[in-house]
Amino acid sequence: MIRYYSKTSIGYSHIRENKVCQDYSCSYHDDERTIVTTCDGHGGKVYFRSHLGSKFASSATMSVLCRFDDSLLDKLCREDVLGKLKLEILCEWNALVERDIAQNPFSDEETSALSEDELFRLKTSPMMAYGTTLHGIMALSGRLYCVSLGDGGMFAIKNGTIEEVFKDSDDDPVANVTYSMCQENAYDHFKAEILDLNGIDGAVICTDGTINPYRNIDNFNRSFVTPIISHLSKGEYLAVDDFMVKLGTEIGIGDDVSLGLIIKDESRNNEV
Amino acid sequence: MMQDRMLGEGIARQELNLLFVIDNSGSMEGEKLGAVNNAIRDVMSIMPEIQEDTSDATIKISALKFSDKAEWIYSEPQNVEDFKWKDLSAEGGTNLSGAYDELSKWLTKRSNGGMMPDIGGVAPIIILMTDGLPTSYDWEKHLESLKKKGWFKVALKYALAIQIDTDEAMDVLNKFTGNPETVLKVYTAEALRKVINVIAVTASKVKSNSASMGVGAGAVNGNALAQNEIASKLDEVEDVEW
Repeated sequence: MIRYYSKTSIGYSHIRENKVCQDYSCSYHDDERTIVTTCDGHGGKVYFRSHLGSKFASSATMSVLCRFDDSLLDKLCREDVLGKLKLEILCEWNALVERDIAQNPFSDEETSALSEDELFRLKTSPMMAYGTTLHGIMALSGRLYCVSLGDGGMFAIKNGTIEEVFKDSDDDPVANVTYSMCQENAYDHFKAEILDLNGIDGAVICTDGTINPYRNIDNFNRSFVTPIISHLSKGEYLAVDDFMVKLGTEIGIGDDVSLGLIIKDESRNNEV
Repeated sequence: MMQDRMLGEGIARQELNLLFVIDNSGSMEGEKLGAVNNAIRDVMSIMPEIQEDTSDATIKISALKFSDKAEWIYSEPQNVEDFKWKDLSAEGGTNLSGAYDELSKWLTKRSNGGMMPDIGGVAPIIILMTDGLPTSYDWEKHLESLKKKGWFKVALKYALAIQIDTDEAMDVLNKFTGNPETVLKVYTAEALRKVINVIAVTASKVKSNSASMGVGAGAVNGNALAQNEIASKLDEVEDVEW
């Protein structure tokens, strides 16, 4: 059986500054597939609709993965399937953003705090207002489909250890600089992979607010992922909910926090 | 066997690194290096207060000296209270290539042998001080490799040109910071002491208090804020030009 979990909580710096939560996460489960997403809308003032951008990124990923037909892997090569997934998610996100702008044009109130330079950038690329990262995983027919754009974390879980699905290099962006759905070359930085679920116990995804307080991957696994899985496998999902709220509002680094998790559970017959 | 941990354990504040890169070649002998030594001691006497006032980040201090070769004063970044300054003495050439190589290694993730956190962290502050042209002819090649590092790209970089005024020397420093507004010509020992103090203290204060601001694509936490505040404070210092 598959267990799954997703949760977002606002961070204390956003509460302090009277800002909305810019993270968004969601989950979906039916007889054949399980999907979770975590998205982190950017916090700079030019990204003033990033709370919608992250919601649209989750929604786009959900709808593309929900209608994904895995028999495509019999017809197309793996790289083409992954390319198609990335392209469809980006197109869907762009369509949602364009529709929102058409229905709710930017108001003077939203843009009044922007500098001339920022206004120019926004005019050239209105998508910028919705800037967000995206992580999504789907368990389907013994495979785990992974899509990722921007910072945060995505790890495969195996025998109590975790391993990055996509390894960052020392040349990649760091310190709150991230690749984004709103970039013109978003496709170039969008990563996708298919893992064999038989070789792993599951996967965890999160936004940077969740992982950054842990400084290194081993500590993140031992102090966060392992205890979370332990709680979830005992059905104590309210304890995990409570901890996520505490991590955002009290003990973390002040940023919004999101977590998504899919784990195989051979011993139990119910899902979280 | 590793012990199980409870939720809530293992959480740490973000790390803010402040790094001094100091030319201690023969030409720095006398009042120039004396001013650097005094300035860093001044800065370190103020740092505990800054650390106490911030809840967002732990400030870590490092120093790299370079003459014929580049050498770290401490092998690891130090907490504010553990960093004790020992006066540098001047000798040898100006091997900027060696300094860039060491900096490049330092700006690598800990899991890859460097000093930057694997996860999270605040863009570091790097202050380079020199009084002349590099004696290592291939410094540009070493700078190109340094510039590829993600942590170098986001760092708040200042360069202090100590009593030098040639276009060629300024070009070396402009290429390091990538921004002429953060390259300062300093003409006297007293001005040098004040400038180091203003940059190190102001940048640490502003950046450590903005460590929890999420900013997103293309922006860097607190760098612009720190730069503005430093510029306004430097207006009051004489014998400095930028």
